[in-house]
Amino acid sequence: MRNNLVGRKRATQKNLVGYLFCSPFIFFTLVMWIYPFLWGIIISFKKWNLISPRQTWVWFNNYLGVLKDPLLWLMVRNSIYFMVVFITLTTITSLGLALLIKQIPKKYAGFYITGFLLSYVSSGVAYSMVFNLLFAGDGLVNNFLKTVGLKVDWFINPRIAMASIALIVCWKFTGYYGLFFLAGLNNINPTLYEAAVIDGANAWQRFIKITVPLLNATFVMIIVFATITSFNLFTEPYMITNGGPMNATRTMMLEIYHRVFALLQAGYGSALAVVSAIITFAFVWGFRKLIERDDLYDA
Amino acid sequence: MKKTLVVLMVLVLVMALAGVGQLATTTIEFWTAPNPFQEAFWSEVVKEWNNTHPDQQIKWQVIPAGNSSEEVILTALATGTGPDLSTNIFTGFAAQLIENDFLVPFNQFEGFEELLKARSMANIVKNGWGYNGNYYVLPLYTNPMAYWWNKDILDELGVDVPRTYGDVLNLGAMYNDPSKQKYTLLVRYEPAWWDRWFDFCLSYQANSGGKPYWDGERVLFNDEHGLKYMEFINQLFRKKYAPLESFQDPLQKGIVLGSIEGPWNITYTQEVYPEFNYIIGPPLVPDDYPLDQPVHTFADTKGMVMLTKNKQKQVVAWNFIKWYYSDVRHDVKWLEMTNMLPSREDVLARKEFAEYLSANPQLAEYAKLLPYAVPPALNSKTIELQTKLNEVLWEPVIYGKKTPPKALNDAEKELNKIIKQ
Repeated sequence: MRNNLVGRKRATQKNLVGYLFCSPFIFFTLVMWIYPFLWGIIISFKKWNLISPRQTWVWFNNYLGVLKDPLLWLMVRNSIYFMVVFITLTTITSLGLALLIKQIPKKYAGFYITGFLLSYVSSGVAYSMVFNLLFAGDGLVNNFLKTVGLKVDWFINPRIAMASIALIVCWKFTGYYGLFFLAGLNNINPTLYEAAVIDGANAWQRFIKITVPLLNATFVMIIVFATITSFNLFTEPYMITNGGPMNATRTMMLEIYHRVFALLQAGYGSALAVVSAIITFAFVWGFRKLIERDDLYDA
Repeated sequence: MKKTLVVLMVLVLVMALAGVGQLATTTIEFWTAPNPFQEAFWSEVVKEWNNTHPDQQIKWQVIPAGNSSEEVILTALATGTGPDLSTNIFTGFAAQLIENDFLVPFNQFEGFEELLKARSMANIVKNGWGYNGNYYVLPLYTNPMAYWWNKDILDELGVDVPRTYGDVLNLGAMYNDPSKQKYTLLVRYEPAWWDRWFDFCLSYQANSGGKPYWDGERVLFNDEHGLKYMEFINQLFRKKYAPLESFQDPLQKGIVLGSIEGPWNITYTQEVYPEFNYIIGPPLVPDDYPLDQPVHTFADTKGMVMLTKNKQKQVVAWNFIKWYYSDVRHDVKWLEMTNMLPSREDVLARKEFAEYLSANPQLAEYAKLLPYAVPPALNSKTIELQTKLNEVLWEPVIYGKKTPPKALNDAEKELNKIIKQ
């Protein structure tokens, strides 16, 4: 009996130490995540202009407004367009980068990886301004293209404005996603390649039959990250196109910001944020179902 | 022990006295526009005030960086970190703040009427800055907007400064060549809500003899004046006389022949493009606009508001306002340092301003437009209205997705919905 009590006391003490170590994270999550999340959901059922103490319950009116607004579906379409261009481009560039860096001796690889990561840690506002100037009608890129008889209306043509934004975001994430791919490549057992070479597989066959399938977990992770990035896109369209031309680069984050801070429709903006979170979650879940494989080369 | 006690008592006494000193000083937070010239101006003015009023101190800063001053101020107010006194407030934004009970009416303070007379702004304030019988904003400056034309190229072509839409279209037929980056008129296509002030709103005021494009009840722009302008815009873009791409300083670089500009660009152009030779003209009007009628223009005009509800701070803020507005030297200094015209009825009459204007002929051209400069139409939903205006009228016409009459009808319908909400 006594032993039992002592044991429970020790276990409680042990748990307390565990809780103590976890407490900064729990506190941070409660204050910075759970509280704003719940508060956001509550506001989404209210009509509130952010600066007035008066808040009126309107229940599902904001949600009905969001779902009835044709802009919502336009923004979803824009995000899907961005996602398709961004995921395709970034996967190619970051995987290509990782494959290239894999060829470099390990002692130099760190230097290149760090170099490519610089774009990821750059200020979104700063590089957006730089790209805006680069892609201007009389900017460096168009001046170069003019020499070969080309001209692209990067941010002016509603059909390609979102793709241009995707190009910039791709530049930002190539190094970061390349790092994940490099880690994935390093995890592949080299004996698999040696065996394939003995079996007469060429480089392309080795890439398609070994590298791509064994990078499945990395692909899933990058696609999940890229999907979230696509639906959370804000800084680049905010700085460069402000949602234009013809709403071609309007994203849900941009609209949430505009509704809350420019039009003071905090309730509507919160409802849109909730809807946006549900849509993002649905896409992430769908992608995981579609591409995640646990049974690759099980046998 | 005794020594320690004495030292402690002295310390307590010093601290108490310091506290009394602190209590006697009232400090207010003052925010001004994020513009380097205005920043330099207010820095000096606030310094002068603080030096001469030790018990009434001003803690000054520029409005923090953001997409627009309005958004930054609203965010600050929402988080309880807003200023006690602020400049850079236009009438529509003031109306929004008034409806949310953030502003203090100036006419409740003693000496309000005298101050209006002293600064020679009674008519300006009474005819355009009132709201529900009260006056919450004191105008600081009025920038009439005007067209700039590349004089050298116009001279080369042997044409006068365009006055009407027809003149511009004729000029375009003569000069325009997009393959060589030669365009006729710069029309801003960006979807920022404030950009519509400088094209659609301005041109409606010019065509209609200064009428507002909407009021607090309904939209007023869906008429012949609005239609004539949008037809002109439609033609400009269909004929590619206006560039649909971004350039840096396209007027100064000779990419476009004309552009609507504010007086704040004079100094910048002088410094960066000293060789650029230009003529300043009034807004363009339809071909049938009578020659003998004055042409109105849009006034980019901003003022000062009081936001503090603390009575002690209100006294300091009002004292500062009286001190600033009643001394003409401040307006002269403002003009010299910012190149923006103070909102006074006597700018053209007083010799203090005349001297500066005669030395700055470009700014004098702007000053001539002051009697015809109309402030933005008053509506507390200005930001929402102009955002929608851009979405249903401006961009669809520029990109050729709607005809001007259809775009105007749609805009009237959609904007009226917002006004009546």
